[in-house]
This record gives sequence, C-alpha cells and structure tokens, in this order.
Amino acid sequence: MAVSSTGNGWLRQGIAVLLALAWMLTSVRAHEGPEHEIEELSELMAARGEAPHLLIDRAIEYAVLGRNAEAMRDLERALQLDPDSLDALRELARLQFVEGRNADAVATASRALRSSPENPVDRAGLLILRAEIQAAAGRLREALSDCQSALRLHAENPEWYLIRSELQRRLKKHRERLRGIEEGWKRTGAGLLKIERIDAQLDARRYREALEAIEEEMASSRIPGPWLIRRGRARLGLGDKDGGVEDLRAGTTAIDAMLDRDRPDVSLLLDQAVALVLLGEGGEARQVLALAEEKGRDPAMTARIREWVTRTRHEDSSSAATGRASERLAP
Amino acid sequence: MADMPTGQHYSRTVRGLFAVVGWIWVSLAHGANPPAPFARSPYVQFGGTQSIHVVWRTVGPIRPVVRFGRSLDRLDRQARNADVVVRAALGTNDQVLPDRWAALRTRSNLALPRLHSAPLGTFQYEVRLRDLEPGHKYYYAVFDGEHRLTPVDESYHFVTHPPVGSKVPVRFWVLGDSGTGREPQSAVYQAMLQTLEKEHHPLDFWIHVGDMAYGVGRDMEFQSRFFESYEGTLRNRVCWPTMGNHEGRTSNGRTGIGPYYDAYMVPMRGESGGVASGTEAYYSFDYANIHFICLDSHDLDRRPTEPMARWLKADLDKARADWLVAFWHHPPYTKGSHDSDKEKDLIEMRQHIMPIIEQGGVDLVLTGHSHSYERSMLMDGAYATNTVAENVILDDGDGDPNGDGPYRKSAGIHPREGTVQVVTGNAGQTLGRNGSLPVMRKIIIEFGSVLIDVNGDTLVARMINREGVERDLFSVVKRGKVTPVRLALPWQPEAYVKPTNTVSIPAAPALDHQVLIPEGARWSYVFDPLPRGSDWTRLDHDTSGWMTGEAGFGYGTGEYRTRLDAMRGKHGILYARRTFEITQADRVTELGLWIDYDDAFIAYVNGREVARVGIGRSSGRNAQKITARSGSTSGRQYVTLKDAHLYLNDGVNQLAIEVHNASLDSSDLRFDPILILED
Repeated sequence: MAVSSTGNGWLRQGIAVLLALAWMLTSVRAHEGPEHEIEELSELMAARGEAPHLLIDRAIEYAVLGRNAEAMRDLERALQLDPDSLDALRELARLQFVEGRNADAVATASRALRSSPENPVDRAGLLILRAEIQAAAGRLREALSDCQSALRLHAENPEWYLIRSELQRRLKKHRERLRGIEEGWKRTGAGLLKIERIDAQLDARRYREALEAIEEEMASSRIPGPWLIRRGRARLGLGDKDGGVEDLRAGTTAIDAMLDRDRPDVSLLLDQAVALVLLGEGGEARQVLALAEEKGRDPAMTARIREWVTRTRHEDSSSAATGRASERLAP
Repeated sequence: MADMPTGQHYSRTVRGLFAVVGWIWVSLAHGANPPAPFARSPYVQFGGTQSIHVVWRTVGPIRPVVRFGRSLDRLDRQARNADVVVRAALGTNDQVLPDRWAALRTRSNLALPRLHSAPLGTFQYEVRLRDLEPGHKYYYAVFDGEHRLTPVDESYHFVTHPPVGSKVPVRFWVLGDSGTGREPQSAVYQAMLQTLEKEHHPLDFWIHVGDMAYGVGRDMEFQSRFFESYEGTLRNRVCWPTMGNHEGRTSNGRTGIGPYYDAYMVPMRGESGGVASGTEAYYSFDYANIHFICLDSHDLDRRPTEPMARWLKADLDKARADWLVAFWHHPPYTKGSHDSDKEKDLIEMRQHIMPIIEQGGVDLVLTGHSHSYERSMLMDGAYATNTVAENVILDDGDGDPNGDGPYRKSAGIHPREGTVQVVTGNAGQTLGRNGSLPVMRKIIIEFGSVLIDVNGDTLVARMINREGVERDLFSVVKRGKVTPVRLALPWQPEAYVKPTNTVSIPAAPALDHQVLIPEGARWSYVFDPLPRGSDWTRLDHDTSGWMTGEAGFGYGTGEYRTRLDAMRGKHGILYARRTFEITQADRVTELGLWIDYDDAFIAYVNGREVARVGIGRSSGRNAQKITARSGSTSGRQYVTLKDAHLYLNDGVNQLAIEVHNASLDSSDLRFDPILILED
C-alpha cells in the first residue's frame, strides 16, 4: 500500500526507545473479562454517543454474563439507530428465543429476513433460526418449511439436515426423513448423519437395514452401551424378544458400569432412559430422566425422552418389553 | 498458590524490557511483510499421513503450480490441476471499483468461491499434494506457470504425519490469545523458537486455541497479526486452529463463513482420522498415537443433545489412540482475565461438554480466552458452579517428575481417570487475573506458551515464558492399571487478593508499521477564533485563515518547533488538521497515534471521532471533565484510533485533533503527534 510518507531509521529507533520508557512508566488496567469490556464500551458511548456496533458489542458481553435483559435492551436500541442491522436482529431473535419469548423471536427473525440479506447463507441461517423457534413453539409444519427453504439456499451444513430430520420425525414423515438424511450424508459426509440414518431406520421400522448398520458400527465402537440399546430396539422390532431384551439390559448395564451417577454424562443417561422405556420400566426411566434433568441443567434437552416416558406412564410397569411395545413406544 | 508475587512480576517485567528493546528495534527495521508477489506467503495446512495442502495468496490471478519432492534440488512431482481450489475477493455488484479490480470481475472469476473481507483483487490458492509417504520430509516450491515464485530455500518443506498408532516422539506447540501484532506476541514466539533451537528438537505441528486476530478477526487482522507474525513456522508446520470469540465477530461457526474459515483448511470428512464432522467448526485428527479433537466453543450450541456434542461423543466412541487431547477456546476452569464461575459460555463448556470429554477418557484439555496460564491437577467430574476441589481431584501433586512425580493413569483409554486442564491464553494479549480456582496447581500471570512432548506412554508439558524460562512442567504417564481415588481434602492454591494499582503493559504500536504522518510534519492549526460546530473535522472544510506550523506545538517547559505562547492564559483549546493518503483502505488493520500531549485531546478521522483521551463529555467549547495529564505519564503514548478503518477512503483522508488544557491557568500545553498504520 502506498502512503504519503514513510518512516525512517532514526524515527523508528526513537519510537522503540520511547516505547520501552513509556512501558515502564505507564500504568493501565489489565484486561479483566466481560465486565471490563462492558465498562469500556459504556465509557466510550458516554463520550462518543451511542453507535449500533458498540451497542451490539456490549450486548454480546451482557449475554456472556447471562444478563439477557440488558443485552436485549442494547440490541433494541441498536435497532432504533439502524433498523436494518442484521447482526442486531439476529442476536435479538436468538436472545428472545433463549428467554422463551417465542412470538417475539419469530417476529424479529422474520423482520431480519425481510431486510433481505444479500448473502444466501446469511438468509439460510436466519431461516434455520426461525425454524428452531417455530419448532419450540410447536409449529412444526412452519418450522419444516423454513428448514427446507434454508437447505435449498445452503446445503452444506450437516446440523441443518439434523434439524430437518428431527422435525420430520415429529411429523412422522419417515420416508422423507430418510431421503433427506441420505441427501445430507452424500453432500456433507458427516458421521452424525450416518448415525441419524440408523435412528431414522429404527423409527421407520426398517429394522433389518438398521440392524446391519448397527452391527457395522458396533465392530469399531469403544462405548458399546448406546449401540446395544439401538440393537435391542432393532431386534425387538424384528420379533426377537429375547435378543432385544438381552441387548437392552446389556446396554443399560454397560452404561451403568462406566457412569458416575454423581457426575454423569447426561447423554448416556438419556440413552439409558430409552432402554428402560422399551423394557417397560417406566418408573426407573423416570428416575433416570429426573437425574438427567438435575445434572444436565437443561430440561429442554430431555424433552424428547420425557415425552416417551409420559406415554409409558399408563403402561403396565410389570410387563416385559415386547415387539409390539417396541413399535408402540418407538419415538 | 500463585507462582510469582506481583512485585516480583513487575521487576522481572522491567528487567525484561531492557532485554527486548534491541530486539524491538531490529523488528521495527525489518518488517515481516510477505515477499512479492505474495499477498500471503505460502503456508501448509490440513496435514495427514499421505497428503497436505499448500495455501497462499496473490494480488490478482496467477497460474498456480506447486512442485514438490524429497530433495530441495529435485522437485520431481507436481500437484494436479484438479487438486487446486481458487478463491477470490472481487467486490460486489453495487460496489464502485477502480478499473484495475473491475477488470477482474469476469464470468469465470465471479464463479470462484468468495473470500470474506479480504482486500479487493486478492486470489487465494489451496493446493492439495497427495500420494505422499507417511512420516517423510518433502520440499516444495510455488510457481506461476513456469515462473518460480518461492526462492530455493529449504524452509519451504513439510513432514507428513507418521503412521497412525506409531509410538514416535511427538512435539507440538500450543498458544492462545496472541493476535495483537505487538511486542509480547513476538517475544513469546521467539522464546519458543529459541527453546527449539537450544534443544535441537523441532516442532511437528502447532495448535492455536483461538483469538489469533484481534480485534474482530478481519482478514487484514489475520494477515498482519497471525500470518506475518508466524510466517516462518506457518511455512513448514501445520497450525491446527480453533475459533476464538474475537474471530467469531466476523466468522460464523454455523455457516462456516468468514475470514477465519478462509484462512484455515481442516478435515471435514475424517480425512486425517476420526469421525467426519461435515464442518470446519469442529473436527478431529490423528497424529502418531495421539487423537486430537477440536471444538467450537464460541457460537455453537453446547448442549449434549445438540450436534457438536453428539459428534464429540461419536468421535470418542471410535477413538483408539493411546492419548486423547481436546482443544477449544473457552476454558471450563479459569479465574484469569475471565471467570468460569460467572460466564455462560465457560459454564456451559464445563457442564455440558466436560462430562462427555471425561467419560470418553480424554487426557488433556487445552484452552485460551483467559489471558493467563493456569494448569490444573489431575481432576475429574468438577461440573459444579462455583467450582470446588473437594472430591474431584485424583492427584493433588504438582505433576513434575522431579517434584511430586507425574500424574498416573492406566494404559489405553479409560473413562474418568482424570484430565489435566491447561489454559494458555497468555501469548500476546494483555494479562489479567480475577482469582484462584481451587482445582488449579499452577497459576502464572506471565506471557508465554506451552510446548508438549509425547513419547510412547509419557506426556510432558512445559510453559515457556517470554524470556525462554520454563515456568511450569508437568507430566502424565499412562502405564499398567491405575485405580483413581478421589481426594476429599486436596491441596488448594492460596486465595488471591487482587492488588490495587496493578502495573501492566500499556498499548504499544504494532511492531510492523508504517508512518503516515511523521514527526515534525506541517499541520494547519487554529485557536482564535475557533470554528463553530464540528465541520472543521471534515475533509472538505475550508481552512483559509488557519495557520500552519510543524509539530510539535506548545508553550511552557520543553522545546517546540511551533511555539504557541499567544495561547497562554487566554485560550485553552487548539484545533489542528493534517491530511494523509492511503491507496487501498481495505488493507488497513489499525491506525494509531504515537502522541505526546498535554492535557487532553479528541481525534477525528474524516469527521468521525476515533479517540478521546482525558475529556469526559462533549467536545470543542462544550468539552467537560477535562483531566490534567499527570507528570508520571508524560512522553509519547500510543493511542489506538478505534474503528478508524471504518471511516477511511482510498486516496486523501483527514486527521483532525482538538487539544485541550485542563484550565486556562495551566503553565503548559503540548501536542506532538505521529500517525501510524499497522502494516
């Protein structure tokens, strides 16, 4: 880059020496985390006046500290100054979603979409955000529609295929779900989509295909519990009641053996709850789920399993699992 | 207990200053800009046992060719055209472009994947070299057609990964929060290089745990604060990255788009081992008998039912290496410049991710974000907030083979046998500390980075500070069968009392910079009468009637090229203006003033306020709360012109500064600015 004038040797030497002197003589505050950033940004705005990018920066720091109300207030102020700020709209929608203000969050995400981001990936990201909010509000068809639109704009994100898959599962669109996962797997190669395909096969009662894939995965698995539970589901589905129950029990035992219940990996607890539901042990499943909720500190992530457990509440808790039960309880 | 009291820290820092002055001078005189014709010098990425990628940038397109071979003078193989990916920054349809760049907007160029926030006309070439032998050294050279661009120089080489599972000695470097472009960053880097040289043991690769391009991860910040800073190592050692929150301001983990994702190539399809993630935000790779896992702790959902955690679980399920090492940016445990008992991102990494990590048998977790060095004891299951040490520590020794002895785990991978946490966000950004976390064994508030050696069943990690001194050493040995025991009342560090008046390192100009307005430059200035309003800060303001003079300006004690004795006792405010030129504003990383002043000032670029020192509110005649500059802080200071790059134009730009005295009775006034651009 050309500039009007360039430095020369004596100047640079002078700067170096002065730098060292100033360094020794000058005291400044150390970097002290988000509180410090908030303080600095507040001082800056008190002096220079508010600016959208400074308000957004401060909102991000507030959100890091869990001070969502203050974060949202800053974002709303940023939007007064720049009504089309995509960053502010995106962050505000996300925070409203986190706070459970789903209607506001949908409205904010829709407003962001109306501002027509030039980049298709930005637009797709907003559609996915709106899809997640719609799904949380139980508006599954609208959520699925947003998700499909997003994937048409940007087909490279494996996470978005998983979101679509979950929506299709809840809407019982098993065939479309399998097709969509296959498409995502080919497009992104993501290992999670391979696992999701197995779960979708189980949900679609394509037990034989699922069993084949599960056994292939088990051959290289180091943590067998979750795979044993999946295989148990497949065997029950194929009418192999004894084999299925044996796998489900072996799966829960394997998880028990590696789990520290005082400090559990919550995802393993969720796997175990699934097995207990399939074994007809609703009471125990509820206990495991309660522990998962206590340790996981996020009831939203146990919602799917809780739904299954609730459905077993009226089941005869003493009945052993059957193939029929497996089909009935299949999520 | 903290390893160094503040006073000792200060005196060591001061002694260190003298040692580095000479080095600063050398660095200032010899910038590290990429040699022409490169806009970004060649660097290696995305290594594996049989392939690697060479990446570079030029201004404008070339015919990219990479030749490589087993000896420097016999580069007998050539990358295939099909293995070349080209990206470009060509502006947008509605942008008014100079002819030079407009001509590049051809149909074929516009079809190329886009670089984000890179200077106009930048072309990035990513070339895959394949069918290589594991564990072998190769030399390479970059050509434009037949014209060789890289010199015949043995530093242009790489070594492929050794066979997966092999128990060869492995050495890697870990650093975080380095990307300031300032002196501490370079000192930490040099200290690491000197250690390698002294021990005659080079690196195999390195890991950056994020915040490599302050302030917001723009492309030019990457260029000057990462690529130019580490050019010599990037050329022949793969850097495996994770995104920090500062890069996260301009790059998005959900979409995989932004300057961070332009800069790096990482395996998405399990090409270097592990389960395919399908995204560059999180990934894994094998190196010899170690499996590495990288997560995005910044902007992805961290809950265990969400994709990143599910992928982590799937990846750990398939991991078969002797050692498991995970890295990301936000530390689950810290009381450095950040607090893991207060901040949501950190708490979530601890509560949602750490159970999966420990259940999966991970041995070592490397993070940054907190500008400190903190290293834990061997621990497991500390998920509570606030973090406590009781019943989560499995070995409360120091881990030093020459002290309490190494931490011991069973051979192979076993759940919950203990993890060591290393927070190393101390490679350049200003240091800070909030307290002592009870699970930490070493807390060192010094600039530095970490060197890790793995040899068979033994891992040794050392923190090397900016002076090359080994400040921490711990080892983990995985041998036989070990039964972990939880300690009810483990050793704990002493409580930390935050000192008042902490002495820390102030901002300093970037090492590699250009001077836009030099010392002694001629400025326009006025103090009587002062123009009304703020139009005087704009480029098109009519300055007829203003005087001109050479900086520095002032009255009272000291020598001035332009004396302003007429101001004494009558006028407390001086307005001064000077233009400067920039030919490509999108290449600017940072502007700063290297300025001596008394008492206070506000600076403007093209009419927009970019710095305010010592003035509380408002400006001009209405300025309030003006603070007299203390004698103890006299002399030049570096002041960053925050966000100035947003307001710059190609061509002529206007710098305007209003200088204020705290009172009309003041015995002196001083104003002596130099405008600096980070190069």
